[in-house]
Amino acid sequence: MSLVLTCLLDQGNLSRDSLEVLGAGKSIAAELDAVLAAAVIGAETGAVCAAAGEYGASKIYSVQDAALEQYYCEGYLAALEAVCRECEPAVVLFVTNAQGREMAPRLAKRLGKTALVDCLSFNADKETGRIVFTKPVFGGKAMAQVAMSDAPAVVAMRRRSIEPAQPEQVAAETIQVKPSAIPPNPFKLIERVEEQTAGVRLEDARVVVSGGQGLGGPENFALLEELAGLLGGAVGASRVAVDSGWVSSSKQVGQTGKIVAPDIYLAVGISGACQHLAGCSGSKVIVAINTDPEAPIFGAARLGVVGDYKEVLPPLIEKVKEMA
Amino acid sequence: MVCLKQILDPELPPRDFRLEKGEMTPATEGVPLVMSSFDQNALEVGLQLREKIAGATVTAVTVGPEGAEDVLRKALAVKADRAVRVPLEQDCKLSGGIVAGLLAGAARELGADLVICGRQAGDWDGGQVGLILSEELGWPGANLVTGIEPGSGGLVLKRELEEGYEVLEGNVPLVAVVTNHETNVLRIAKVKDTMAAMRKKVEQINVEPQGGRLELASLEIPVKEVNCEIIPGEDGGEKADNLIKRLLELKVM
Repeated sequence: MSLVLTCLLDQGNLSRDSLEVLGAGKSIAAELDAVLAAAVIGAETGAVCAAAGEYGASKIYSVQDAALEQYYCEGYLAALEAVCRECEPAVVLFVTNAQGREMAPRLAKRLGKTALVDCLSFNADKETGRIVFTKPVFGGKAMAQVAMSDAPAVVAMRRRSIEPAQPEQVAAETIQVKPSAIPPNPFKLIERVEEQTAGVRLEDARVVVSGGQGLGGPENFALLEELAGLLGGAVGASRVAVDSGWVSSSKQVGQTGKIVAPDIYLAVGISGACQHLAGCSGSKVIVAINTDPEAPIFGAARLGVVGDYKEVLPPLIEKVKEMA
Repeated sequence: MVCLKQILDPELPPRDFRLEKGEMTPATEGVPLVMSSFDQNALEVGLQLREKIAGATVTAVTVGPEGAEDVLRKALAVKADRAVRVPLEQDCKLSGGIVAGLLAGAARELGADLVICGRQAGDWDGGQVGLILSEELGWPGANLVTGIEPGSGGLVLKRELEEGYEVLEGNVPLVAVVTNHETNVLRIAKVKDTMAAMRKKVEQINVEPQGGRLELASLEIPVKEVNCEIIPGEDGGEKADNLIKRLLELKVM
C-alpha cells in the first residue's frame, strides 16, 4: 500500500502549518487509498509523534538525535532523506513556509525528482495514482496544473490554502529511523533577532490594513497602525513599501511575503500587482482605497473608495472610535 | 557568480497577459523582457560584496537563448566583471533542475567560490534553482539571504526569518539564495556604462542539459468574478460612513 508522508517540523506542539500539511495529506491519502504517515524530527520527538497520531497519522517515522534540537536545513534534510529511503512514500508533503521552501526542492533532488512549491490544490486519481497539483505562475496571472505521476511527488502546499486536519485518533505505529550520518550545520549562528509584533500576528489577523507606494513615505503608516489597532488587526505592506525601507519585510503581503486571509483586507495606496494580490486573495472582503480609479486593485476588490486616503482614513478612524 | 534570468515583464497588466494559442506558454510578442526582480537583488548583493573584498570579481551568468544576453548587458552596465551565457533554447518552465544542472556546470568551469541566485523567477515562480544548485554542487546553501559581508572567518550572511532575521557565518564555497530587502535594490546604471556594456564580450559555456521534466498538464488564465462596488460620497467623511455601513451589512465588521 502506498504512503503519503507529511513532514512535521515542529518541536513540542503542532503548529497551524503542520495541521495544514496533515489536512492535505489526509485528503490525498483518502483519494489514493494510501496510508497517512508523518515524519517527525528533533532531539525529543515524543510529543509531536503523539500529536501526529491524534490527528490521523497511522505511521509515524521519528528521527531523534541531540544534534537536531534546532532546525537547520542540512541536518533536517539528512533526517528526511533517511525517512524517505526507509518508507518509500508516493507523496512527500510540506507547507510553503521558510523551511518547506528550502527543504522540498533539495529533498526532491536527493530523491532524483523535481519538487513543486506553493501549490494551492490537488486532484488525485485512485486508478492511476496520478495527482495533479495546481500552482499559480506568472505572479498569479496564470494557473499551472502539474501532473506528478512518478513517486515520490515532493510538494509544498501554500499556507492557508488547505483546511487544517481535525483531531482523529488512530492506532499509530511509531518507527525510529537512524540516519547513517547527520552532517553538522555548515553555518555558525552569530545572531538571531526575532521581531516582536505588538498585537495580533499579521497572518492571524481578522483585519489587515496594508499600505503601498501611494502612502509616499514611512510616516504615513501611522494612520494605518492606528486604524489596525482600533480594529484589533495588523498592518501589512506591498513590496514597494518594503523595498523603499518604509516598513520591515516581515510585513510584506504577497506571493513571496505573508499570505493572509482576513475578514477585511484594506489596501491603501496599493496599485494591486498580481504578486501582491496572490497574498491577500483569500480575504473575505478586499477594500481598496486609491486615487487612481484605473488601478488594478479595483479589479480584485469587493469594495472600492476612489479618493485620497488622507481624506478618508481620519474620518474612518473617528467613526470606528465612536462605535467602540 | 550571480545567476540571472530573463523573464516576461511581471509588471505587464493582467489584461495584456495572454497565452500562446494552443501552447502552454504565454505570448511574448510585443511584451517587454526584463531581468527577474529577485535576480536584480542577487546581483546587487554580489556587487556590494565585491566592493568589500580586494580582488573579488562578479561574473553574471544566464541560461537561455541568445536574446537572453540582454540581462547580461544590464549586469555589465552596473559593472559586473564578466558575462557568460549557457545556451539553452527551450523554456524549462517548472523543471528548474535542468537549469540548476547547467548553472552548476558553469560554476565548475568558472571556478566560482560563491554562487548567488534570486529566490524565484517572476515568470514560472518555481523557487528552486538556487536550492537544487547547492545540492548539485554539494555546497552549503542559505535561503532568503538579504546581504553578504566579508567576516573574520569567512562570509557573514544576513538571512530573513518568518519574523525577524539571523546572521550566519559560513565558508566558501556556498550558494546564497537572495530575497528582496531595502538594502539590495539594484543600483541604476550610468548612461555611459550602459553604452560601454553594449560593446563588451559575452562569453559562452556549453553544458549538456540533464534531468527530467515535470509534466505540465495545463496552463490557464483564471477568470476573475469580482465586481468592485464603488463607495459613493461627496467627501472623505461621507465615503468613510458609507464604507462602514457596507462592511456592517456584509457582516465582516
